[in-house]
Amino acid sequence: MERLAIGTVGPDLLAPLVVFIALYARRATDAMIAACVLGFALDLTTAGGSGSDAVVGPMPILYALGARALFEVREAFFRQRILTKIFLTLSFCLFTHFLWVTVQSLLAHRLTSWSEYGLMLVQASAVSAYSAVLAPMLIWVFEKGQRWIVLIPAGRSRRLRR
Amino acid sequence: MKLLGRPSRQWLLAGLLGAALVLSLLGPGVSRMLRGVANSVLAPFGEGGMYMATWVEGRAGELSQRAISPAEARRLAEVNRELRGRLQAIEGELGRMVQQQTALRNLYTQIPYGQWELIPARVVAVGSLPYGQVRVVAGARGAAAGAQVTTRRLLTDRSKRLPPALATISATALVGELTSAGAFTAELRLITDKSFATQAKILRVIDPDNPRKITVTKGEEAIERPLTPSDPIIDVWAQGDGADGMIVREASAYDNIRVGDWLLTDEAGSKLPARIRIGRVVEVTRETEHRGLFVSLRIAPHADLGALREVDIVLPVGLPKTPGDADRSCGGLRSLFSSTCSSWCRPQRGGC
Repeated sequence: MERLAIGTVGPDLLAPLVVFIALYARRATDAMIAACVLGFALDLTTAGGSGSDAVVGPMPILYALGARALFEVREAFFRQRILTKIFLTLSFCLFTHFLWVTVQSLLAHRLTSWSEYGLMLVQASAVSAYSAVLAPMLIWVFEKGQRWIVLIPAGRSRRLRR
Repeated sequence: MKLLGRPSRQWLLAGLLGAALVLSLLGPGVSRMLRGVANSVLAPFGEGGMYMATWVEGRAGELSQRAISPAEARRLAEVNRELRGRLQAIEGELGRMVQQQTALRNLYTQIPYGQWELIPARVVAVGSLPYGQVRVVAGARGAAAGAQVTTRRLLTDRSKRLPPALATISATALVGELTSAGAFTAELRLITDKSFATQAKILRVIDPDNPRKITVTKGEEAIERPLTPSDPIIDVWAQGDGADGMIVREASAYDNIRVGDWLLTDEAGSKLPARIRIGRVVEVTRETEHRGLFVSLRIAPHADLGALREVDIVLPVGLPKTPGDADRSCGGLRSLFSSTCSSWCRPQRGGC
């Protein structure tokens, strides 16, 4: 992780996995369940939030909602393209992390100042960008192991391009 | 026969989302308990990524250092001069310690050897998300609510709970102290944590190319003279700044502490029976109160806390059961001492 003035910046490695599942899952419910479980894993291994220990719960909900949104719009994208993977991961991370930071700030025992909240939003943006940069490589790895990750993949879309 | 038909998936999703919502509203207390339970299962999965990131970071650092520019060569030359000065200071300190060795040996024979044991531990994982770890530290020593803390979770080989406030060292320096411990796990508070504070010593580096003058008082008269190796090491109180370093306040300006001086542990304390490095002075600021007679110091940790993986917990114990136990307990400390004073830890009767 790089140390910046806004704090440490590191990738959210589960976000590309959620994007991959949302792109290739057969049903929206399957994608949401998987995203929810991954969100729980992320929340259970996160120590800090804002003003107090981070509560467990917001990330599973946000991950599930994000996965559902990705599932609904996936037909509009060429999922084999690198730019698609970067854009979807960036959008997903911005949505989930911004809202996670906001919810944690609201639920924190200690009031979060606007400057701290702003710094965390900037940090979330950096985390999202970092995750988006790594997404094409990670999703490529997941695609190679698709049969073990997605048991019943979605059929070929008429928008699929090689 | 399908065990999970379409209606069951809907119920499963509804159940998961409902549980997430309820947990969000129950507050951080329940979340903390859940994390403690889940950590034993999930934490090992994070280790692979952590070691990979550290390896990549190390290799990148090596690659970036291969080509040396003229500016870099000049910097290395300056570092060499600084190291020469430190070596002279260490040799001076060594000479003083040799003079005290006879009295120390007599004292040491009255202390049961094997008094200290090094328990190896491994850092499990930092939090998955890199947002600043800010938590309420209600009741912690010297910390106000909302203070930033930096902690690490450790895996040990002890099934019994370890006592709190044990010093923890890396291969090169002090890195923190235990805050709590359970079976095979412990939580480490780093030296950069605002709740961490310790008695320490400042070792002033003697640079022959840049001699330093200190001010000593004799009665009401202040006399300025050059710093010599026989001048005493300065006692200070160091506290973590809650970010990436430590702060020392109210150090006497007369001592002329400079950037590059070392912060060492105080071996007279009960937590650590040795003088080892903690960090290095990186900034000296004159305090405006007290007529400018005091300075504040910023200390950068000597150990790379971001890449911390293997540590040793210093535990005071009784007499060793076998001579091998004494060797094991002194081995780690001896390797630290050898870089500062090779005569401090010498095998006697199979132990230190």
